[in-house]
Amino acid sequence: MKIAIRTDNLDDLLKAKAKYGDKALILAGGTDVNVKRNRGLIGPEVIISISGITDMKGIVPEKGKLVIGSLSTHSDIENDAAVKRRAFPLHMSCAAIGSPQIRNTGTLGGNIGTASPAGDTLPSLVLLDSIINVMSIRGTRKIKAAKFFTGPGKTVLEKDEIIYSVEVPLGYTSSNSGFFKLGMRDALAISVLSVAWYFDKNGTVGLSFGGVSPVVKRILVKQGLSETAFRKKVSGIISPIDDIRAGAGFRRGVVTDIAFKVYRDGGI
Amino acid sequence: MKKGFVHEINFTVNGIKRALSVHSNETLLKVLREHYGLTGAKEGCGGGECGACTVLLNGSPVNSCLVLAVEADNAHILTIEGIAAKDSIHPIQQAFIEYGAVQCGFCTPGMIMTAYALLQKNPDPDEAQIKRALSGNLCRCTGYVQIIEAVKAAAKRMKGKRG
Amino acid sequence: MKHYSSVGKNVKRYDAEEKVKGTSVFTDDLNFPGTLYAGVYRSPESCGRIKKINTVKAAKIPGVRAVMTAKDIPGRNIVPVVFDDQPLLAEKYVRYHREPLAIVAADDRNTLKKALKAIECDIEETEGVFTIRESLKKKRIVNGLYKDNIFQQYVVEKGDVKKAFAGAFLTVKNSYSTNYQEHAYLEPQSMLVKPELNGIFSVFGSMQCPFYVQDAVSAVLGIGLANVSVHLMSTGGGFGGKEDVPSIVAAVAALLSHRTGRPVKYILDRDEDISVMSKRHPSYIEYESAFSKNGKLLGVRTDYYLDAGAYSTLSPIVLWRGVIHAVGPYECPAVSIKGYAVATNKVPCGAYRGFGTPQIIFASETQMDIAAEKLGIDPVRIRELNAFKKGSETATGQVLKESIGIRKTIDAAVSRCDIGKTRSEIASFNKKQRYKKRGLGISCLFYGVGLGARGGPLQKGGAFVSVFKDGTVQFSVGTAEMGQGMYTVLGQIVSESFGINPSAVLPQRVSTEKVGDSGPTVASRATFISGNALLIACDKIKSSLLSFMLSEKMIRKASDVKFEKGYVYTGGKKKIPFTELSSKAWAGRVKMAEYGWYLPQGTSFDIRTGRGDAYVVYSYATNIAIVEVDMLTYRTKVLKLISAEEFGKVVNPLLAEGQIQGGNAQGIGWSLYENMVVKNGKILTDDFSTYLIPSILDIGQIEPVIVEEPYKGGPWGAKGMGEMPLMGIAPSIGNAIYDATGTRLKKVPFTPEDICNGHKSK
Repeated sequence: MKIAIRTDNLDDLLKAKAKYGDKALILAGGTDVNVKRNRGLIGPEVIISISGITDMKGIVPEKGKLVIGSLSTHSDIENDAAVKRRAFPLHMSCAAIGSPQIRNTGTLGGNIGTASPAGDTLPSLVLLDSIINVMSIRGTRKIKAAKFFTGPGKTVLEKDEIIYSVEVPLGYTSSNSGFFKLGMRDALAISVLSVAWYFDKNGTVGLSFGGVSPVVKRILVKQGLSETAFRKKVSGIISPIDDIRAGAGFRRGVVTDIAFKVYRDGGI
Repeated sequence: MKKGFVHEINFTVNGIKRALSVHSNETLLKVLREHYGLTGAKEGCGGGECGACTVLLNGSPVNSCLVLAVEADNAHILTIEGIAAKDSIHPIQQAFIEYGAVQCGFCTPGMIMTAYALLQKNPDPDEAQIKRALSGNLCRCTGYVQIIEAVKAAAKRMKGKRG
Repeated sequence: MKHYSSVGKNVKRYDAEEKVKGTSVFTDDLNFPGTLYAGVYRSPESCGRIKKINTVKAAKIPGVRAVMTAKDIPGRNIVPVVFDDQPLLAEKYVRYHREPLAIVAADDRNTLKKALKAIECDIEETEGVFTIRESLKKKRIVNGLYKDNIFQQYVVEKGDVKKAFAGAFLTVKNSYSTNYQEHAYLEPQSMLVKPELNGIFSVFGSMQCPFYVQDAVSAVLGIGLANVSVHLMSTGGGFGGKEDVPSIVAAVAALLSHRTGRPVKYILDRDEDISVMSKRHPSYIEYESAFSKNGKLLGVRTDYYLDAGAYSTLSPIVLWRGVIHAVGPYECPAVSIKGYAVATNKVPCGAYRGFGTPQIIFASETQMDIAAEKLGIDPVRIRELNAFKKGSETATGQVLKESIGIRKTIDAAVSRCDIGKTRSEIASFNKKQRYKKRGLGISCLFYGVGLGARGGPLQKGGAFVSVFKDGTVQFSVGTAEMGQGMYTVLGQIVSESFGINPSAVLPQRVSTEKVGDSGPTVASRATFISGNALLIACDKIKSSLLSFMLSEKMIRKASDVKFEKGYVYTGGKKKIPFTELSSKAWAGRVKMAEYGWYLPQGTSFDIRTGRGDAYVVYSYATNIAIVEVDMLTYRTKVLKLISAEEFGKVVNPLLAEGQIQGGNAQGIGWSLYENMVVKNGKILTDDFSTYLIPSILDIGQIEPVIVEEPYKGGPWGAKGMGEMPLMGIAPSIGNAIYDATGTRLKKVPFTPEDICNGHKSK
């Protein structure tokens, strides 16, 4: 590291990001970046610590949606009544992350920016058609979550852009939507696979899948498909790999079984 | 905006106001242990996975190995050394002793801090809530059973005291 | 039955208060001015010839105080254990990934990291041997000292095995395998070495065996043992992982301290700790059992292979314990047991709670269940039928004479579980549920207390006891406190002897300066060995006190005297406070500081036949596991674990329950969660996010049941117990998974993937 910047001012952040581009790594909650730094796995030239920027915190209701500042912690989101009542899959995603300590520091923006295929909030954000608001000194862009991620650790962010906030549409309750994560332990677990879902009034079922392809995949299907047809649809969009947590075949089988049970029974 | 490697921070540690110059690389854990001699918080993994370094930042448990000292600017930090006066003992600490919740003791300070935060927010937790609250603190010695018993007992006693 | 005042009570841990306050001093909490930080430069390859190690750049970095390689070691370049085949720093060959090549001391951690990055090596890589199977082919030899890739082998032969199998109603033959287990003590390996005056080095650290560390430091520095003082700091868990390997950690710090004249601290990072420190051996087991129609075990034939890694370290004795326990706590007239510790190009394995027994118990107890089902006998009944009783003979021909609690533990576990009711509840649950299946499994085991016959010269223990004029008592022993509660248990044993309150008895921190070499703190031996040594010292003091009382005419005859409730009864109801007697004895110049030395007697082992009285005595346990398998995700949860354990007289029930619960949890971890992934000898799961130990949410209800069967040779009747709670958990869970799903698992851990494959192949 050659330069360390700490700011509580959004303009300063945007200027710094414009100047240093992808040499600069943004430090939000630090639950990912500092793990890698402590282990000597990364050594960015510039670190910009942004946890003091109040503009990027808070969960604000707007018409039909919630606008969640990217520096909101997973605990903030998990404990937010509106999220729990009307954006239930995201509530479940945040509650499934790591541990209380991690949820108290890790942020939504960090989870998005890290863009891990196992990122716990991503299936819910993609499922609900959330909008990611990004910002640079050039201006702002609205990007659909489904278009935001391009590969493991890769996003469409330009090198001067930062994740400012996320717009999450409402109307998803614990009775018409959900999220399920399979980890190999009940706390402090990295997702092996995850499924988020909703059932809308028009008979459409939305399902998204984490951990079984380089980026989260989503399908929208009508209710009433045969089991074979449904399984084929799911199987067709995922491309799991073997890693130290589980094999590709296991992931494919289990995620399809879970998806079908959700599709048939309305939940898990 | 502050640029450079040395930052001035002001924060409160166990009720005492402190001002300190810290390097931008330094973790809160390192500052507490090496600068203030508060060695109760331990480094078990350096990756936020074991919780042995847990301290409270503005009342919430965090892994101090993943929090940079600069991020503690203006914050209130509470460590195991700060939950009871010098010659007294907190009911949670007392219950940990009585219920056998301590073996090697390396996870104990972090475990107690997390339990402390839980009981501040929820004085009457059920077993599931206790387990969920402590799920970020690994213990390899006890199998957790006596820890759960200790937290339950502490909650009961603290409630009794509050009347 | 004797009435105890201190033994059998939940006396508060001596070290609990400092631990809950965070003031207990662990090695990394210790600071001396001018302390340097040590680190190790390690081999990037698993196997190869070292052509060059370039440390020039690193040595030039400001703040780097010393860089050393093998040629700079003033003494012997070894890690002393059993065969002394392991160099501290590799010189010509590397035999496992991350084997130490060079060591560095620097002013601070950042400089240290820079220096380690600046070292370069040139290694001509050669193809390694990574599995037991490859190793046994002997195409490539791991270490020239062992031409057949076998560090050690044993046989235990008894009876006519051929005949037993020929005449059997049922024979069951299967292969089993188990993976590594990492100790995952929460405190990483830590040592601090400080040079003192007169060529003495003080070693402060986290360890189980101060005398091993003393040996290692003396060897590498080429100085006398008297020049090395080892002091035990608060030790954050051991479980076998701090038996032999702290010797390596201390030797590194000592070399750098010797070179620089400064205190040197070496604290391992977690990834380094997981990658290079010892572990439970992976194993491969072929196991064949013969039964009569009514379920009597007639014969056992087994080949037991341990994947030992690149150096022999403790493998010879780990293997021995496994071989001795291969049949389980059952009578068996004919056995043929062969054990092999096999070399591979991987991290050396060593001691882990259970010490070579959990692997073979997994095989033998799974066999029992398979046989029970084929014979149509209840799994509990088949164990009862064969279990040891007074006069039974073990596989090595040892006749058991007393304190044989296996049947009591079976009864206790079965009745605590209310097994009939539980089984019918499980059956009705399974009928109703499509995606969740429950099952119940049982396992039994026995455990030889202490080092046993293969412990040789290490089978001994010393203790020092000093009574002060105010009646308070201080004691020292040579075994270590690592969290298990030894200080407290031993304090109770001493206070019982003097009939005084345990709060008047205080342990002194363990140090090589206080008592003679007492062997290691392993094999569940601390209570038994140090407890007996303490009682010898206490008896000497009491005998001096009696002589004093006789000469002072305080008593008429020695047999009148009782030490109880803080008093010394001097005949009938006459009594004086112990404090007063101490004060009088002090004034009378009585010797009230004594040394005790205990030697367990009567163990034997014939290396050719495997016959002998392997251990002085055995402890016993029965586990019942109730599990739930999710048939969507194939994850297994332990709902309830009942462990009934018999280890003589229990000294401190609360601490013993803590040992049972903790050991059970580690057993659950090994069975279900802890899956070490190794590729070409390189450990990929080198942190706590990939090597998963159970969290508080992963442990179901754990119910310890303590069963007493006092042993006359133990201190107040106690035996040893620290390891048993882990040893039989895997088969109880495996048997329960079979009960739940019909899938028989022969590989530990039981991963969701294996359960899924088993389920789908049916």
